[in-house]
Amino acid sequence: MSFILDIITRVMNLFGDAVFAALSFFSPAVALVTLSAVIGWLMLLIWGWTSNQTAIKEVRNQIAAHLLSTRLFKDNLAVTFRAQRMILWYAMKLMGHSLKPMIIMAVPFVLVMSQIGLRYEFRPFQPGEPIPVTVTLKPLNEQPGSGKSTSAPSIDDKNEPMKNALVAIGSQLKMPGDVTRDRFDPCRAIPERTSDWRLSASAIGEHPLEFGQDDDIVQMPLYVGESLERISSLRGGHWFDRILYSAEASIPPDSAFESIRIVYPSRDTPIFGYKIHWLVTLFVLSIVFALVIKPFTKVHI
Amino acid sequence: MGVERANSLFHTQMHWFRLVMEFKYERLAQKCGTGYSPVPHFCRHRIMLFTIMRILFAILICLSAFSSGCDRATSGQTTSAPAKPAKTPKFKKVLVLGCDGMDPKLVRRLIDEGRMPNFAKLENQGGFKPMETSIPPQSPVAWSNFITGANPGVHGVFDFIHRDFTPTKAANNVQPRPSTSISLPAPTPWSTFTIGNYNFTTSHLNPFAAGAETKLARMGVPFWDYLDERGIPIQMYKLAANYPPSESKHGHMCCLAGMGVPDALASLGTYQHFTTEPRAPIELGGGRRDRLARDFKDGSFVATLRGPKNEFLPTNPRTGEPPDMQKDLRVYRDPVNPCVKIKWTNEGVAGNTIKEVVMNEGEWSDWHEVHFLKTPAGPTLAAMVRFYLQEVSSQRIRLYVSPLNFIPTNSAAVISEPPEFVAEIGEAIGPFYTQGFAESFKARHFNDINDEEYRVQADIVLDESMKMLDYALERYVDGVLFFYFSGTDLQSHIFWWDSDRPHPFRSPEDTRKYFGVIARIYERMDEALGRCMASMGDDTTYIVMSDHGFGNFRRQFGLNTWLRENGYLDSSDDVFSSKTNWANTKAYGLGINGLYVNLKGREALGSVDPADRDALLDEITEKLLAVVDPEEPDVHPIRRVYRSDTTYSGKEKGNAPDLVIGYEKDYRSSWQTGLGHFDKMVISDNKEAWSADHCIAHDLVPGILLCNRRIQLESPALIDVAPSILAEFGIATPKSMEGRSFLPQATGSAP
Repeated sequence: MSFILDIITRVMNLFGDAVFAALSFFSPAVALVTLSAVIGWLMLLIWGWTSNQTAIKEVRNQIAAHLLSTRLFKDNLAVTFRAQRMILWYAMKLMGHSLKPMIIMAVPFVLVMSQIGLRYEFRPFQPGEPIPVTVTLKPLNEQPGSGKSTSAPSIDDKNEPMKNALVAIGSQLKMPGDVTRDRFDPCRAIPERTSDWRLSASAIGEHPLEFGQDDDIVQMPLYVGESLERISSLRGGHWFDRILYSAEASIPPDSAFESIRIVYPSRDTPIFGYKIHWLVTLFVLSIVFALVIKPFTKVHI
Repeated sequence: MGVERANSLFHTQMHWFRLVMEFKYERLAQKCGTGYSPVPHFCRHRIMLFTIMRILFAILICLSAFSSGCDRATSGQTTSAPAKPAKTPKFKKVLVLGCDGMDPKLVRRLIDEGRMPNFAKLENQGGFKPMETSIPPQSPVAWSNFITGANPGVHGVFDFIHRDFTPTKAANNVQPRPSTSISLPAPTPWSTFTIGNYNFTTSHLNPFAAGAETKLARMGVPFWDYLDERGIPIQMYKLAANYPPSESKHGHMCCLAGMGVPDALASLGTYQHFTTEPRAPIELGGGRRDRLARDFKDGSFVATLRGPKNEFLPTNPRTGEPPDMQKDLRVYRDPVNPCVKIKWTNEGVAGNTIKEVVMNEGEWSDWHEVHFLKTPAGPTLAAMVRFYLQEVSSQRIRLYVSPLNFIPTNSAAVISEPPEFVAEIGEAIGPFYTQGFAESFKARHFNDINDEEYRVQADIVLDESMKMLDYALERYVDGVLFFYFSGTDLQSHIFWWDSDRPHPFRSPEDTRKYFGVIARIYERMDEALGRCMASMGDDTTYIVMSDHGFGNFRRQFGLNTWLRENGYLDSSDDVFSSKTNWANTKAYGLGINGLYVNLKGREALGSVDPADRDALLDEITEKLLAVVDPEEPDVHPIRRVYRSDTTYSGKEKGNAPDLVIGYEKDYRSSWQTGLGHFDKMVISDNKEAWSADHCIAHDLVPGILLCNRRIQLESPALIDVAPSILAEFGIATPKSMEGRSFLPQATGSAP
């Protein structure tokens, strides 16, 4: 499962990198509108290929005809009610015909969305901006080489091994020279199994952060600048993390780290001067573009 | 414009859509054999046009998106101030910089020392004079004088604290209430019902039902009404004595309310202080002390932040009020480093959000949102706080949490006119203190923070104000711009000391050092003026003013105790209570400077016949002026006693205290007097951190008036500022005002 996901996400990442490299000359808002147009067009094409166009055309004609009959025979209640019942019936048939293309489109659509989300959900930090970083260690009994405790220790006894683990592994961070850390970093919350840093970067670019020591080292890039970067705010070990945060590879299962999180700021991509979530913008614009292109493709939707 | 174009195009498109649908009906009718005629030729053109319109519509969307989104989306940030509108001024430009409590003596000294170059420049261009303050010289009174250009008898604000006129016989309707606003309870609902633990009323189901309301109690006509009706723009930031903000009748006034705006608990600012030290929770007037409790499940600490009352929960029979909403903050202490992580959950109807903040010892956090969910189905009250980690070690933690402020972009109360004005400011500059008294002087007063910590906190407030000033200057085109600074007053209350006598608790070095803080704030006011001058240019009339000056507060006078000792007040309790014999009480003190006669027909349990009032007032006045300080027999603590019936004029003067006490310098009323309480001694030392004040005789604490145009009046007063602003726009002093313009009237018509 993990291997397959890894392959898929790698391929998608390469594809996403290529597409966004081509769009790198535009501002994020322009790139999003362009992507919406392309996605709208592709959705329409896939819909045309995968759906039963003849049946859809027939159903839509039937709906339109019954709509017309409600207008023509509005004085005849029996005909009007029958027409409305038939409209409802054909509308459901239309939904049934839509099911297949929607299911087929769902998987590539989610993968494409996740690639766009990697660029539009978060923005890189600005130089000098505070950068919160949180490392979470696995519970002691899941850490490599640990045995399960049989006694019932007190809170402080129970905390001691995790405190040692946090101090030994969870507190190790190597950074490039352009990144500095707060004077008392890290702040460790033993019950949470977390170490928190507040970093600051002075230069634009991709700065590799290296956590852990010896043979248990996990890396995560830190992005500083203004461009559209492929950003995952979390690197985890769960397969679900691999899908949601596909820019980063999974943490190896034999690592003491459960996850590394860099809390990037949300990206605002204003459309018409309003702050709208990129997903809403993409959804609305792609539908608009699909409707615009439809007459040229002769696809029935 | 892009949106308007898009709308217009959309409607055109809808027209064509209808036409084409008609054509489709025809075509279908033909197919279905309903006997309709074949497709007319002109309809084909319509289809082509429709398609072209679709394409144009899509292109328009793209262009609009590009034009509106390109610039800001590139950086992904929206915190920069909006660009200054490229408009040509239509009206004159007038700036009024209000520096609360700025003292003319210190300004003179700093100008002479060359430390306030912009003030000096203004003085050279126009003039600098002490400005007569209000009677009494309290900020709500003084700023109301400024706003209305009239005396307190017109605007009805006589003190920070007024009598509550609500008739409650048991307490002789002498409960204190804030002077500038009145809270009105929600009307009694038609019916109530319970779901689970929550009480609902029919008002909760009716979105149009009237709820509890706060009303502006300041009367009189504000000066901006005269400008507003002439279409002259007015922008005011943090204006005092205008909460809730008065309405702009013609839509040309924007105002962010300042002093008087409450926190989310509806108090004037209630901070919370948590420590691991074993101590009982305590409620202070303006603060709460609580213990950080260790959670024995995981070893972290829990701080329970208390929010506003939850009106959906059953009323506590003991207190008669619903319980507070609460929020558990989990505090994790680092095992080695002096830092903590604070974590909490913001509940919402749609889902929960986990919030975290990591702090080092001695660090102030940014603003963080705290949400209180009143019932599982809503509503949610959103507020924001700043944390200050005072101390953390293996032994103990001390954590200060600021009062719960409203979130500017999502304010739970209307604190600006128009209501969205505060959100616009918040969008541009980020969150800021919305409560009127932003400086945490209560925490300093109760010794939960020290001098240095207070200075740092007050500087944060000042930095936020400077940021807001930059925004105001970016937005300003013409008309009146008013900007208020509170730090000159609230830092002076703590740090001012210009006497050779020893400070109540500071060493001489610290006294000098912290008095130097005031000078530094004055320099920052000079910097603020410099920014205004650079942005607004030479064609602007600049007025820098303060509402009063400052003096030391070394000794306190217990007015109610004096009245009791002299047989005017009969109470065996230390507060007005059932043990107060009102039948034998002739006068009582309430508010910082107020003395009221227990008058028959006015007070519910009045004892003094109106015919005897004048004689009684003369007698009390004579005795008060004759009081001497037992420790300094040559000093009279009371310099002046003002009779309100001769000092004030206007239809509100009947609500004024009968006497207003004007204390001598170094003296003020005691801390107990304000709320109608008693002291152990009539005169005692003030040992509080609040060691300077201005609520004394008005001639001892004049404010300042600085203008780049010649000040024509010999002794300008606060009530002269509003007529002068109007005069700049050619408006003669209206009848509602008593002041005179200190500037020549520009050409224009009278109102």
